[in-house]
Amino acid sequence: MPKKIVSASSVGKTAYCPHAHYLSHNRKPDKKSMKRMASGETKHKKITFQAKQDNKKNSNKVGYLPIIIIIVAILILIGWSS
Amino acid sequence: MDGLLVIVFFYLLYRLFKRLFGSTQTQNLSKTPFGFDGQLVYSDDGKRSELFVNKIFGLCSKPDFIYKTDANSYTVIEYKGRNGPVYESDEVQLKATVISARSKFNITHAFVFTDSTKKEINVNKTNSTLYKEIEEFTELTRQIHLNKPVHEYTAHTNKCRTCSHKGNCSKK
Repeated sequence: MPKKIVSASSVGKTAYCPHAHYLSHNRKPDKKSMKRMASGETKHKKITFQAKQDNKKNSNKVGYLPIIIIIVAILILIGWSS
Repeated sequence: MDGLLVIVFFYLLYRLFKRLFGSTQTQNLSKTPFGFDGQLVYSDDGKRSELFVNKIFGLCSKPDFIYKTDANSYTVIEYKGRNGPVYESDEVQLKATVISARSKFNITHAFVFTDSTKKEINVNKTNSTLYKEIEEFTELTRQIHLNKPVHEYTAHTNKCRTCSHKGNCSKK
């Protein structure tokens, strides 16, 4: 029989405290915890944005390489044919 | 003859640029916010992000970040937005993440980052070995999902202080 699929984060919650994870299935977390979770989410978004920016910067740099090659090649070809 | 010369010229020009700027593989690697060089190939952007599923072990995940760090080598990052240590539960989550992410990427390295700590988890093992290390928690999670009462508690009382369910906890 195939195993029931569970998420990695869910397994992590069980490892943190099995009973707390069990309780979280039927009860909402308190206000303080909700606030903490919201703060964690904001930090996540911030670091994701930064990681994407860093990656973008580099891919732009790489993107110029073929353009430079084409321009140089065209200039040389023009010089060659004249 | 002229055409052949042009082709040879283009080829040599390409080789020259490749040597000057490094190979395409290395070129795509940039400094990451986590202090190593890599190319971001996946990030968890919420609902739209791909879910990795390993049906053999019954695990799924949306890793925080996956970076390509070598030709066929990937590093997975689990980020915890807290100013504190890396817990065993973070390591367990990361191992489950590695098993499921390996359905697409050859994950060879894995890190947990908090705002103050960085820890590399040894994932240079087979999926079966990794699964054995987290099997107890995975099976307990399956029971919880079936709404079976679980009366196992964390041994660390400091976790209880910040627990959002301490008011309903039956721990004596």
